[in-house]
Amino acid sequence: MFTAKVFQNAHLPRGADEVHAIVSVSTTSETKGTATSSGPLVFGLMIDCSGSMGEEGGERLRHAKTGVTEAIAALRDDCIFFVIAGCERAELIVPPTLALAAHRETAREMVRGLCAGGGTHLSRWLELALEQFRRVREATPNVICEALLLTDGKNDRLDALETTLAECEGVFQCHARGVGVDWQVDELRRLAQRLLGTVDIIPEPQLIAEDFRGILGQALGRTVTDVRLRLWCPQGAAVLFCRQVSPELLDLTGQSISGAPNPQLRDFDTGSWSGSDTRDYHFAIRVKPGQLGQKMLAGRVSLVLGGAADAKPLAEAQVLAIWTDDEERTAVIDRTVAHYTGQGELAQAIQEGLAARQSGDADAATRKLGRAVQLAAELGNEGTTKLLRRVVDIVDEREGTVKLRRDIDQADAMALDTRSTRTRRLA
Amino acid sequence: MSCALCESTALRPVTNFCEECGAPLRVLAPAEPRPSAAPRDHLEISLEPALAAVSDRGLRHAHNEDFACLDRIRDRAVLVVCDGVSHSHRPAEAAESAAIASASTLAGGGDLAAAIAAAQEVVQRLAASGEIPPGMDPPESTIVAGLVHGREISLAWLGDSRAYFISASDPAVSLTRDHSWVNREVDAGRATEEEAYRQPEAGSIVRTLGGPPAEPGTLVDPPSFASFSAPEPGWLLLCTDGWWTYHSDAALLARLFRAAVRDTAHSASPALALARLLVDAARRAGGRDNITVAVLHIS
Repeated sequence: MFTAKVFQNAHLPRGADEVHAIVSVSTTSETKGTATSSGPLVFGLMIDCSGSMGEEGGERLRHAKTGVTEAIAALRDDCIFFVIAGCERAELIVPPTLALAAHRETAREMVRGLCAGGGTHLSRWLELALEQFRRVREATPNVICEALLLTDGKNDRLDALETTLAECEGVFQCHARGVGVDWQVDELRRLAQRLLGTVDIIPEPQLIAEDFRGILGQALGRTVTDVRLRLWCPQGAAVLFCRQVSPELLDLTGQSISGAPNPQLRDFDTGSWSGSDTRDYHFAIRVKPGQLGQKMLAGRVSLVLGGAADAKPLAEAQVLAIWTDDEERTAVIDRTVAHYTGQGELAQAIQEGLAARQSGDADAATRKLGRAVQLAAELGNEGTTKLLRRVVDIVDEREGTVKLRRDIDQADAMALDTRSTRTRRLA
Repeated sequence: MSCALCESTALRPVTNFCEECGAPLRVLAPAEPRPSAAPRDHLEISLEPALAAVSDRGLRHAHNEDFACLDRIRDRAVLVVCDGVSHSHRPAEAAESAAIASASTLAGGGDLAAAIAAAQEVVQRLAASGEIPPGMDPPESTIVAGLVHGREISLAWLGDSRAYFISASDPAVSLTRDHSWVNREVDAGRATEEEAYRQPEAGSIVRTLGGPPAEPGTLVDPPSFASFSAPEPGWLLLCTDGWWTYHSDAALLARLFRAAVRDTAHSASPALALARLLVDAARRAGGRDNITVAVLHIS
C-alpha cells in the first residue's frame, strides 16, 4: 500500500511565485492481494572481464566470479537471471535462465571459465543486457528488471553511452559498482542515476561478494514495478525541478515522460519498490502569484502504475499556495524542505570540492570542502563527516575551517564522492 | 542505385550528375519510374555535416522498401522520406521513384504541392508500366517532404511517415498528423482514440501515393501541408514508421534524440553519425520494419 505525505509551508508573501514542497512516499506490505504486485525478478549481471581485472594475480576477477556465483545462489527459483562478460565486446555467458538448481550449477561452470582480456566498452554491455530484458519482457510482462554492472576501469572508447542509456531507461534499473580506484565516479554515477540505481566504490576485491549480496537482497525485496510519480500542475505553471532527495539525490527534472494526452500532467519513472520503502521528493513549481488571501492548488502528486492517462492513483498528495501578508507565517521555512535543501547543497559542495582538488585548485577545494564539513555538522550527517575527515583535517567544524590533507588515499576520495548523493532523513 | 556509366554508388540521388565520373544520371527529369534498384539494404546519404539520412532494412523484412533523398538549393534544404507499402506491387521502386521525383522538383525550385504531384505522377506511371499480379495493390508509398529555409519549415505528407522538431529541452514537437484510419475515425467523431485502436483496421493508413483508387471520383489522395517556425535552434527529423513505432512518446523520443546528439557532437559528420545511431536504436528495439531517418540541424 502506498501513502504520500506533504511537507511544506504553503504561505507565500505578496507577489511570490515559487512553491516548494517535499512529498514523502512510503509503502507498507500489501494487505490482501491488491492488484499492485508485479511478476518475478529478472536479474542481469554485467561483469568486467577487461585485461585489468586479471592483473595483480587476477584477484579482482576471482572475487567477481565468487560474487556472481553467490548472487545466483541467493535467487529464488522463480527468478530469471543472465550473465554478461564485458570487455570491448559483450558476451552473453549465461542467457536468460530460470534460477532452478540445475541451471544455477551450469551457470556456475560458465562463470568459472571466464578469463580477462581486452578493453572496456560499457555501452556494448548495456545494449546486450537491454536485448535480454526486452526479450524476457516480451514473453513475461510485468517482471521486475534489475541489473548490476561491475567494472574496474573507465570506458575506453568514444561511444554512444548517452544514447544507450536513453534506450535502457524504463526497461531496467541498474546498479553500478567500481572496484579499485581506476574507474570514473562521474561516469558510473551518471549511468546509475539514469537507470534509477545506486553507485558505489568497492575499494578491495574481497568486498565484492558482500556488496553483491546487499544489492541482491534489495532486488529480491521488490514487489511492484513501473511505479510512476505523476505531477499535475495548473495551467501556466512551470516545474522548476523535481528531485528525489531520499534515500539518494536524483534529479528527475529532465526525465519526465509525457503524461499525454493532458499537457498539465508529467510522469516520472521511479522503477520498482519493496513493501517497506520510503522515498522523498522535492518539487519546486512556479505559479502565477495570487491575490492576498487567495489559496490555490499548485500541484498534485500521485503515484500510478504504468503510464495510462486514466490510471487510478495508488496515493495522492496536494501542494498548496496561500498568499498572505502575515509575515510570521510566510517567514517560516518548512523544516523538511530546509533539511533537504541543505542535503543538496552538501552533495554539491563535496563534488565541487573534490573536482577542484583534482584540478589543483587548492583554494577552491579548501573552501568547498570546508563548507561541506560545516553543512554535514549542521545537518547531522555523521557518516559524511567521517568520510570528510579522511580527506581534510578539520580545524573548526562550525566555522567550516579545514586544511586539505596531503597524502590521501584515492579510494577515500572516491568513496566520499560516490556517497555524496546519499542523504540523511529527518528523524 | 548506381551510376549507369561507371557503376559508382557514390551518388547524391538528387543531383543530376554522378559524383564519381560526372556522367548525367538518367533517372531525373522527366520523372520516370525507377528500374529495379541495386541492393540497398543499408543506404546512407551525408549531404552536409548538418544534413544526412540513413535507411536500413531492419531485422525482419527481406527488403528495404523505404527511401530517402536530400538536397540543397541555395539556402534551402530539401528532405524527403518514403515508405513503400509492403502489400503493394513493387513498393521499393514506388518509394524510390517518389522520393527522387519530389526531391528533384523541390531542388528545381518547385513548391511542395508540385513535389507531391510529381511523386504521385511517377507512382502512377510505375503502376501503368506493367501488369499488377492478382491480389496485389498497385504500387503505393507514403511520403513526407520538407523544405527548410532558416528556421522556417514547410512540410507535405501522405500516409504515416512523420516529421518532428526536437529542441534542447522540450518534448519533441510532432509536425505531421498520420493519415491513419484511427485518426480519421477520431477526427470524424465516430470513435474515441481508445475505441478506434481496438478495431482490426487500427493499423491501416487511409491516404498514400498510388495504391488502390482513392475516394470515388478522385484520382489521387489529397496531401496535407503544414508549416512551422522553429522558436529556437534544434533538429528536424523525418522518419518512417519503422523508426517512430519504437519512440511514440514525445518526451522519450526527444531524450533519446538529444542523447544521440550529445554522443555524436564531436564526429566529423555529426548528422550522419546521429542518423546512424538513431537507426541502430530502432534495430536494437526490434527492427520489425524498414527504418529510415533524415535529420537536419537548424541553427
